[in-house]
This record gives sequence, structure tokens and C-alpha cells, in this order.
Amino acid sequence: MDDLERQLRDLSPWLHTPETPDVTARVRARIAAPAPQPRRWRYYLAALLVALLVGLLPPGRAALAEAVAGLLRFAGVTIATGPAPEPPAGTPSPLPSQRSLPLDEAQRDVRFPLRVPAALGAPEQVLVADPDSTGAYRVASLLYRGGSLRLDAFDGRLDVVYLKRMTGPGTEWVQVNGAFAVWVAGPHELTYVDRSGVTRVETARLAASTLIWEEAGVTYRLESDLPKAEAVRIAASVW
Amino acid sequence: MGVTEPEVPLDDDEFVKRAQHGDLEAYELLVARHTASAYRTAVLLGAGSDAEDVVQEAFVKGYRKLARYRGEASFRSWLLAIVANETRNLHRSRTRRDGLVLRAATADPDPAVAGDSAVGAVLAAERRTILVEALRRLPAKDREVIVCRFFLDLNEDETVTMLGWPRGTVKSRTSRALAKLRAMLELQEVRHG
Repeated sequence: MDDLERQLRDLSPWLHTPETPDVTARVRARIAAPAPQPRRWRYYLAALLVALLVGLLPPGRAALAEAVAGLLRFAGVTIATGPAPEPPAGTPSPLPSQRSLPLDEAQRDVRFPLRVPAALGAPEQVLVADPDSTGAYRVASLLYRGGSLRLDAFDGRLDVVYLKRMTGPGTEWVQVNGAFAVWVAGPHELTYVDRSGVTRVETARLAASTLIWEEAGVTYRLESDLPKAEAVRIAASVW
Repeated sequence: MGVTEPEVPLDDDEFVKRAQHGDLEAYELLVARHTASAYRTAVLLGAGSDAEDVVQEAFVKGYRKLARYRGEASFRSWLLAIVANETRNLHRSRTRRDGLVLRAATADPDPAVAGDSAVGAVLAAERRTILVEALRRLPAKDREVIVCRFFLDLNEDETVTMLGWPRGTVKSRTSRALAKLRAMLELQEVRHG
């Protein structure tokens, strides 16, 4: 080490740094808070834009979502369009701390009104997952037809709960009871995003066609091999 | 040696892993452990009174990016890279760049920063002033590499991670910065006769 390098190292302790502030509490408050969310006005603005586009585009041009952006956030679900991701390998883990409960207990143990689509009636099985420290579950799933039809419900106003990856076009806006909904046609990668905003890769799986809509602050996600019109009919029967 | 922090403790990795699975307390521990180092980095890179905001922002971004950290570099240098980046963003949004500041002439060297071996090697106050003046006149990128290698005591690998430059650039920039400093100091010596 030559003289200049030694002098620089010796200078180091003489350089003034004010006393280190404690940022721990503020950092914690910011990372514990929900990640920046699409604001309500953005949602309405998006709906308005879509309405305008519907008005402007010739009939039949329904696949509007990809015309708007490659990344779509809707009611707690993020849909990313991009190059083909690695297909999820192996058997995916269930959602964190998932368990089966009778419907009435599940309705009591979630913090949102858990409703059942009249078109389907009583579910064969009800699963709840990811409880917080008070034991309130974050996601409830109603299973029908031996699990081939799955209706997930969660409070989509709080934060992103699911991440979907699409490889091509296949996302479109549809209407459920006059409100906007998103239809994702065909298999796509689905990953659960946990409370702290971390995407749980181990939950990644290929999901069937899915309809996502919002009703009274609750986001519903209906995954099945049903055609779009049938999925919309079921969605409209949630009461 | 001007050691800012003890060598990266082995259990950083353990806390990182826990934080990656959503353990906020584990991340909070990492924040507490690396605040001093991050703060000093922001100050030395010229963030001045905004250093606190820079550090806070860097920790929040670090948490959001944590899933992408694969342990190829030490967590500290990965984090300091975010601090350096936030400081650059700050400089883009304002014209002022705070220069290096010497501690008051009467003060002793910071005992938290100075190691035992520094005690014997005391520079004359005048020499320190001249050196700081020369550092302030260095181009920003030259100063960044000097800050990394000599004031934050990062090794070459860590400097590569922190500045995001190729290894060759780190090497050549270091020797060029030292050469420029040497030239400035010689000029000073000639002037002072």
C-alpha cells in the first residue's frame, strides 16, 4: 500500500458523519403497511377508460385488457403478460396454513362477508388459509365438482393476493351484474402473494380459466373449465 | 484500518432467508444491524441532510426486492448498492451535492470508526484538509470508488456489487482516481513550496 492509500485510510475516521438515526420503526411501519395499492379512483378511471374504449372500438374487439397495459391490477389480483415463464414444477404447496372448515365456521372466521353462488348451492368443501395473529383467515375457497371448480374469496381492497402470469392475449373485461370483471381464458400461472407482499413461489401452479370480480369489497376468483358465459352466470348468482 | 463495521456476520444469511419468507422481525434485525453502515455510505456519497431519508427508502426498497437477492454477494454490499443508487437518484433531483466534511479540528477521530492501529498514524490537520479538498474536486465516479475502497473498506468484490460496474472498471477507476489525487496533491505541494 503506498503512502496516498495509507493516508486515505487514515483519513476515514476523521470524516464527519452525523449521529446515525434510528430508522427501524419507520421502515417497519412502511413495510408492514400494505404495498402501494391501486387507489379507488384509479379503478374507476380504468373502468371509465374501458367504457370509452368499448364505445370507440368496433363491436367484437373485446380483448381490451392487453390494449390498456401489459400489467393489469384488478381488485387484489395482478395479471402480468409477458414471455413464457418456466412452468411451475412438481406439486404446488397449498396456501399457507390451509385447513378445511364447515361453511358457517369459515364465514365466522374471515373478516369479510363470505357468500355462496346460488347457481352452485352448498359447496362440497370449504378451505381457509393464511390466518393473521388474531386467527382471522385471509382467503376462503369454496370447492365444487370434486375440486375442479374453485371459488376463492378474499378482501381485495387490502393488498395483492394473487399474481397471474399470461403468455399471450387472453384477458378481457366482462360484466357481472353491470360491474366490471376480468376473464382470463385458458391455463395460466397462478402464484399466491402473502401478507407481507412476498410472492410464494411454492404455491405456483397452472390455473384453469378464471373469472375475477368484486362484490361489496370482496374479490371473488372463480376457477373452472367452464365457458365464459357459464362462469359469468355463476358469478351473477353470488348473493 | 478504518473498519466501519465488523466483518459481515455469518447469520445475515439466516435472517435474510427468514425475511424472504415474510418474517418482518428478521428484516428489522437486518435494518438495525446495517443502519450505521448505510447511513455513513449515504453521507460519504454526498446525500447530506437527506441521508436519513435515503437510508429509510433504501431499506424499504431492499425489503421489496429481497426475493431477488440470491446471496451472490454479501447482504451488506447488496444493500449498499441500493443506498448508492438512492443517493444518485437524489442528486438527479437536486443540484446540490454535499461534499465530504471533516470532523471539527479539536475532535478526536471517531472511536467507532477508528481501529486501534489508526491511533499511531495521525495525519497533520493541514494535510487532512488538503486531502479532503482534493477529494471534493474529484469527479463523482472517481470519488465513489475511493469512498468504497478506502472509507467503507469494501473489498474489490463488494465494490463491484455496490457500484454495479464491471471488475475491470473498478480496478481502472481506482487507479485513475488515485493518480488524479496524487497529481492534485503534488500541485498543492509545489504551490506551498
